[in-house]
Amino acid sequence: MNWPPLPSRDWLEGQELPPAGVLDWDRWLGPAPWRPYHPTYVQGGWRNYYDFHGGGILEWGSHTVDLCHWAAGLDDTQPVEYEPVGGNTGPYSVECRYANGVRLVMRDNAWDGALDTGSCSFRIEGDKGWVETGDKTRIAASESIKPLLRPTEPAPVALENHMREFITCVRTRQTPSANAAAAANSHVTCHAAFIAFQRGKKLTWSVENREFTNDDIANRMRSRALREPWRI
Amino acid sequence: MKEGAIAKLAGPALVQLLNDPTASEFQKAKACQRAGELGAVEAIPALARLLGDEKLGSYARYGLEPLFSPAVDETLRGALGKLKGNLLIGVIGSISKRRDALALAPLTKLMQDPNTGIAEAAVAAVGSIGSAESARLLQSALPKATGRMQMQLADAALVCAEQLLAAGKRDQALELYAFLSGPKIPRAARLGAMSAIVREETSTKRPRPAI
Repeated sequence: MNWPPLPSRDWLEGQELPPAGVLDWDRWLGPAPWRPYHPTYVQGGWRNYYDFHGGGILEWGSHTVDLCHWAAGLDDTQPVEYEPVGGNTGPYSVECRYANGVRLVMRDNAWDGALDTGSCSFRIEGDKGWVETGDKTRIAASESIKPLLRPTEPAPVALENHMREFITCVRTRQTPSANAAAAANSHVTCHAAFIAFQRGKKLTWSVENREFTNDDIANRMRSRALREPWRI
Repeated sequence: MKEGAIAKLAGPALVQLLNDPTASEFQKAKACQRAGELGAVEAIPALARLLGDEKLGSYARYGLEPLFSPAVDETLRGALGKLKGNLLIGVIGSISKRRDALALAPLTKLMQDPNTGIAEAAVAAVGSIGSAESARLLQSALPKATGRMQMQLADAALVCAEQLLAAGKRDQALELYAFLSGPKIPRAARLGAMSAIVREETSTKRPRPAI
C-alpha cells in the first residue's frame, strides 16, 4: 500500500480495553506516548499514525535507501540536502543530494514498482543508462545497459544468500553488506527526509553533527521523548 | 479526536490550553507536542505541571526535551525529588538525553535507589552525561557492585568513555577504557573497552605528538 507521507496525529475514540489476558495495552504501546485503546491499532491499523509510523517515506525508505547507498558507495554517509515535492495526497517525492553531488530521489512508485519489479523497487541512474529492480528480483534496464546484465537469482535464493552472508560474517568476523552502520545511515536519511516533508521546505543537513543547519524546529523533531519506563 | 487547529497554535495559546482545566487529555497531549516542536519556552511551567500525570507525563517531556533553555534542566532536576516510580524513570531518561551535568549529585543518590529500574536509569544517565565527574562516579561505584548492577555500571562507563572521546577528551577516555579492561569488570564490557583501546591506538586519525 502506498502510505501518504504525513501520518495522522489524531487519536481514535477510546474503547473498552480487552481483558488483561487478551491484550496488555501498556506493553503494546511500548515507548510510544499513551493514547486510549482502540481495536483498530492492534489489528494492523497502527500504520499511518504518527506515534507508531513514519508514513510512506519511512515505510518504504527503510527497505530501499540502504540499497541506493550500497550501489553508490555511500554506506557511510547521508544526504546533505532534502527537498520535499508534492503534498499528502497524490504523487510526492523528496529530492536529496549528497556532498559529492549524487542525487537520491525518494518517490512513491506504486506497490510493485512502476516497471513491475516488485515492492521495494529502486533504480540506479548513471551517465550511460539506468537499471531498476525490486523484491521480485526481476531487472528492468535501459537498452544501453541490457547487454551487460547477467541472469539474476529468484527472490528466495537471493534472500537465502543474504542470510548466508550474515552467518558467514559472524563466523569470520567480517562486515556484512547489510551492517549496523549502513542501516543507521539509511534510516537517518529516511528520518531527515520525513522531517523535511513535515516541515514542507528544503532542509540542509550536517552529516558530521547530525543536525539540520537551517531550521530549529526540524532539529527539535529529531528525537521524541520515550514513554516511561522505556529508555535507551 | 482531531489535532486540527492545535497544530497551528503559537506559544501563548498553547500555554492557555495546557492550563485550561476543561481541556481534554487529547488536546493537552497535542499541545505538549506542538510546544516542543515549536520551541515554546513560555510553556515550560505548564509542561512541568503535567510531569506527574500518569497519561500525559511523557507528553510533557515530549514538549520539554527539545527546548533550548536551561529552565528545562532546572525543571527536570526539580522533578527528581517529587516523582516516584515510572514517572521518575521517565524524567531521569530526559535528563540523560539532555546530558545535564548539574544533575549528577541527585543522580548519584538515585543510583542507590531500592527500585532497580530507577537505580539503573540513574546509572545510565550518569554515563550519558559523559563528564570527567561521571567517569569518577562510575569508577568509584563499580568495584562495590555485583550482578546486574555491575554490568549496568560498566555499560554506562563505556558510554561515558565514548562521550569523552566525542568531546575531544581522549586521554580521559583512554584512562576509563583502561580501567574497564581490568580483570574484575564483566567480560562483555572488558572486551568492549579493549576493542576501543585497540581502535583508538591504531587509528590513523589519532593525534600524534610532534617529532
